[in-house]
Amino acid sequence: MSNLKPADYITVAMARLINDGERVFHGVASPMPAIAIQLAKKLHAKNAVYVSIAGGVDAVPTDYSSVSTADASLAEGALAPFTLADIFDLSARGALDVAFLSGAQIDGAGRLNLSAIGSFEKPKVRLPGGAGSAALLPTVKRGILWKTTHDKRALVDKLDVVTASGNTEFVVTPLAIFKKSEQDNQLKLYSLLPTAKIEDVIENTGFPIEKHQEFHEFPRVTDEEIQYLEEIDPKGVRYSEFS
Amino acid sequence: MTVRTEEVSSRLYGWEHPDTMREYRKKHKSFAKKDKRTTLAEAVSRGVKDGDYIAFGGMGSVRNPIAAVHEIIRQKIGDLTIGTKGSQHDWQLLAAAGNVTKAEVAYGFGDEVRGLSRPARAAAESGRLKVLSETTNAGFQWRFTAAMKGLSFYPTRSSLGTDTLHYSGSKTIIDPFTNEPVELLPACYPDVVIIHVHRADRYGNCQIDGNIAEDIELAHAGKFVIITAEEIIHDEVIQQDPALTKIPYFVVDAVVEVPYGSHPNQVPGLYSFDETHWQEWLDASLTDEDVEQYFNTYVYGTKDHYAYLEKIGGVRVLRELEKIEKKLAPYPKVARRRGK
Repeated sequence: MSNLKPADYITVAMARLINDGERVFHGVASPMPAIAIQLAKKLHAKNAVYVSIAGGVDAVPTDYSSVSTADASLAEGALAPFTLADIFDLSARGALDVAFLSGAQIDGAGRLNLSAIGSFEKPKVRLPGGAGSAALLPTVKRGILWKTTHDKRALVDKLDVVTASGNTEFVVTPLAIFKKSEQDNQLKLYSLLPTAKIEDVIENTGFPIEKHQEFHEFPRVTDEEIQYLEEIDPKGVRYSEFS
Repeated sequence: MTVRTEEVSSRLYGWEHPDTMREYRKKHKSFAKKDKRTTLAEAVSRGVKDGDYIAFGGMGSVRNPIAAVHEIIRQKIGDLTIGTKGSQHDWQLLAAAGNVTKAEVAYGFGDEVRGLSRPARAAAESGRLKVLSETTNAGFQWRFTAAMKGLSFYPTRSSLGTDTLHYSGSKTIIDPFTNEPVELLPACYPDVVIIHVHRADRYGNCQIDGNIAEDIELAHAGKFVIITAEEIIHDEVIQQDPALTKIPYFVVDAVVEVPYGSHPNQVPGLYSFDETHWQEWLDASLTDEDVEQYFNTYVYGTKDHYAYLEKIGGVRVLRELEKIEKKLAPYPKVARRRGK
């Protein structure tokens, strides 16, 4: 399929990283993770448990077009109320498996900055704030970060502020998937998305690129994945993160 | 290494000694069940003072007390400290209008998928708004929880090893049970709390549908609690199903009926975002001149919330927002920040 866009690849890549039976969370402004979780639940992770900031367990949203991830439409079909506070408690007691998070800057150790570009006290750019990331990334079993841009401003050698650090396992970008190496706790190239070459990744990343021992070619997106993606997100809300 | 200064990390904001709060409650928080209905102008002038620490109920763009925010701007109440615990547009309006000069930040400078707020950013980057501390949504939740429980701190292991911990005002000690580090978050007792709810009775018993966020803890933590309700309902409706009452009357100081009080944001089940108005604000937010013009038109230029509702299009617009929320009309084009 040559007409697939980066949003399709990123969403499919994130869905594939969810294992069956895992308890999975995403935060605000996260259409692609929200759709990826539903995709995974249709395919290989039917027993994944979905908890979201909208406050529900196992919601099955029918519409992702809302601009607020706290919107009730994202809690549609839920089995039980589950507040953000419940999610923090779940993570604190070691029972949250996956959290989808992002950062304005991500470094080679998988740490993130959502606080400020420049100094914290006199910021050149004041960023939104870390939200729940500094409580979740240190406590969740697997942090999966995603970026809609892949350049040296986003993937940096050194963060201006370490808003959150901890258990990042994967980073997904429009060019590549990185996985943290157990040897040195640094992100290594795990896979290239079909549209990217390794030179693009090296040129556009602020930290050194090495291949992960599990490096492999990104398995092509299947017809089944595309079919479910269209079924879950017919309006293409996943593309909105790129507009 | 990030530059760290003790000034940021060691000061406490919103904290009180638990015994001071016991005394405060004895003196100022009447448990009397009395009619607390008033006007928005009166509730705001009585509850919100220059220099107060203020926090709002709701979450993200849901149930934000925007009408009360407009009234704070109209009354030119200044030098406020905001706890940005997870909502954006409410306090960003105050930052844009200059009412807020200090902030404790969990999430606040973004408008979720609409991007960063230019006026709020400009306030912080120019120094007009001082960021006092950085914490997490969980941090605020737990700080209000400590206040609700009459404690001076809340212990957690969640943020150890991050700069956020350093900037949060928390302290790290050795947990005497595990002999390992534990983070102590300072309790937060806001001077004034404003919560927008679906329904309340005249005494302040509140029903909230859907996402409750941390409104219960917040209501119990606040020194002065203003409830703005979409509807004031008869006492008997509350008694029909007390399990629906999320906030009991005795923590509430003022109750105001404010229909469409979250506009241009949403109240679950009642009305959706006003994307047209949002686009107008996002366009205006690009320059200081247009921000001022926006406030002149919609806030200073309207004597109260009812005049504001007429200005934004009145019944015709509001009915449409209700239809969108009930999925009787299609969701409109999402407003986006344009230009630079």
